[in-house]
Amino acid sequence: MPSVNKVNKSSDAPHTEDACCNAPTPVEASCRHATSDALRQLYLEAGQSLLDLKTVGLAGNPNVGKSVVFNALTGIYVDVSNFPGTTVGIAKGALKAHPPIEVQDTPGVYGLSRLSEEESVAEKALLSVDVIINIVNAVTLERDLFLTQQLIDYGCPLIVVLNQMDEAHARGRKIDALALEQQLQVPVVTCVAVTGQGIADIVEALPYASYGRRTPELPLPSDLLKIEQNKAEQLRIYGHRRLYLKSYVSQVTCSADCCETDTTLNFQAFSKALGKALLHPVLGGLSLVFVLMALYQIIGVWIAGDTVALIEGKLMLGIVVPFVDALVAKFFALGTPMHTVLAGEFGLLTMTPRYLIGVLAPLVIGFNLYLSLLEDTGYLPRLAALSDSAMRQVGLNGRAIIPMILGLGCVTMAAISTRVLSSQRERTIATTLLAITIPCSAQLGLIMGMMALAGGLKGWLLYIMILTGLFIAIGSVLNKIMPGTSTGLVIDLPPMRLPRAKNIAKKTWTRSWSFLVEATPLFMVGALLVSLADITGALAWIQNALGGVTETLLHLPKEAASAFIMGMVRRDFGLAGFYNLKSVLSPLQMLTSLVVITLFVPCLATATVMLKERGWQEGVGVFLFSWVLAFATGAVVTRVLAFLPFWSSTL
Amino acid sequence: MVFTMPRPSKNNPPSTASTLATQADGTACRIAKLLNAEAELTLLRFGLGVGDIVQVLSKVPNKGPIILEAHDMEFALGFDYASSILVDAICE
Repeated sequence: MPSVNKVNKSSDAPHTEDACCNAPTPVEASCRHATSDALRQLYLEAGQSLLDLKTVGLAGNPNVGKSVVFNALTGIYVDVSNFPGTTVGIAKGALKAHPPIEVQDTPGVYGLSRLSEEESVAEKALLSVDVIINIVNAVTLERDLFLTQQLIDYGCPLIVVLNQMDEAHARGRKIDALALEQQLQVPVVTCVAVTGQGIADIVEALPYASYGRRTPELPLPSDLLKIEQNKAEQLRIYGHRRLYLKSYVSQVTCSADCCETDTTLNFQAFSKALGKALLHPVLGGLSLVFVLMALYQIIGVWIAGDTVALIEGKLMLGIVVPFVDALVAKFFALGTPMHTVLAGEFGLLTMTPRYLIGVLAPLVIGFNLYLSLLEDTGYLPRLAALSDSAMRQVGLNGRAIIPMILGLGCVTMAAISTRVLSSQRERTIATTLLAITIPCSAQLGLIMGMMALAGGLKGWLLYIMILTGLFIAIGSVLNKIMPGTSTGLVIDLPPMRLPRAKNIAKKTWTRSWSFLVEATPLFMVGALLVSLADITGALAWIQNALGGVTETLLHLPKEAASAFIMGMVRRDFGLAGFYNLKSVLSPLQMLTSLVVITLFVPCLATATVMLKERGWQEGVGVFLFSWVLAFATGAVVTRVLAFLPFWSSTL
Repeated sequence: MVFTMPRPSKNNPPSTASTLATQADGTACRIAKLLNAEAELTLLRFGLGVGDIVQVLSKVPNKGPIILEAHDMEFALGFDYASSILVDAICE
């Protein structure tokens, strides 16, 4: 490893103390990097050619714009949102400007301390790349430079990218990038990543990546990594590092009131007031009710009701299915096994497109659109703060509400995003709750659509009460029986922002397309299995065998067995099966079936992620527990609601 | 190794001390001492430590988190952490 501080001798480079306020405004300074000719020459001597680089890692605090930079550098879209913890794994892509170089996007971290799994993932990746692009939020320089200084102390070659310069400018904050560069002894590039300004300069600066000026009096990088394993030493070193960076941060920043425009001032004031209102106990609670009501209206009524009726009813059942049925009948006679497999009740060419395109796709697209809007506004971190007290009752902290909300989009992705939680205990509790009590977007859309037939808004509220009750009960039991306590909450509250239409569209499309790519083959396998069981007579046998469960225990018709078989592949397929039975189910039976299938076994993708993330013992345990819980709860629901005249008459 | 919060009885500051959790909304205060190593480690990574000034923006009731502003950033700090931070109030 090259020796550190190779470029320290450049400290005599031109710089004056008032350079900060005399320097060009950050907006003027955007799209160029600050490196002076003298420094550039030194970096070039110490640094390496772009051709020498194989891997480049993006590092930075959460929510500073790493993924936006990654998207711009590689042309590959990864999720970008306005909450800390969007990226939980490593995304890789080739650098557009120089494809042999691989760019790695890492989870946002405040430091490399292994306090959470995402920090371990980030540390492992960052210590193995050739060069690090350290994205720093120009607005929160004091906070973000801690990681920068730590990377320098660890002996990592890097360049620093000052992102969100426009926002810093709007807040009246000026940063002397050249002074910062001279202090850190690494190239500093300014940019506004969301508009693409300064992205080309990042690539241009890569060969000049340098080891920088380390915190004085700290051990050599190889020793430092070992010493920081000791928590007492770590605390001492962290304190020392903070004092050191505090000594120079004030020299490179200054406030200037002249930069703000009326428009930005007005929006910032509105954003701040809105953010404050969302944290108010009453207004925040009301806003949550509004978010849920809007969700019901948009997904449950407009999409699951009107849009699905149009696409499934008019297009699929009216045109596509009869056409395919007639086409298949030309080749295979009605009643033959091939006709049953291709165009029968569970036909590969009839039921699969009918449900995937006619029912699930509009619901998933609608839900992803709604969730993307929520993510990009900055609402989720505020919900995390507001729900902290409640989440502590189930052994978690407010931060865990984010995976839960993301689980409403896709439980599999949410199970991975539990990495943002600090302890194994919290991850176990959160994953269990996610796998059992949180319905994904496809389920939720179908549930809302069917709930309109089973009591409307009252049925929807009853369904939420049952699931919330189970959420609290399971979480409380796990909190009691698992050793340890929940960790404290610390969460960054980013400014409330107007979502960018382009990002919303890209995110919605990417997620919805991923769903269709993953779900289509599985749905076809499920449909094939049920068709084969139908042809061989196994379906009737299973329906009779499960009669004790479906008819006696749950008070459902025996045809519900086929929905449960489909539900073992994916829960939303099971719901599609119940959707098919909607004309023969009473409202109470419909509510019972919705509760049972929600609590039913996690889908194959979620089960796989659980086995990978949590180990086979937890994975199998949750799988078996979900069976027992689903049928036990269904049995209770169907009996209690039938017993209560108020609810039974309402339903 | 996973850090866990110390028991509340051990975590309680001296009765005469003023903690961040007890400050009124709008109060600006200087961090005087951190009694919880985990909170200290976390705050240091946020660029905060003894001597830094934070402003209490609001508090979520029922022992909810304290909403703070420091160095141009807003963040929520859990009640237990805030209870382990001794502060000197500067102004309201």
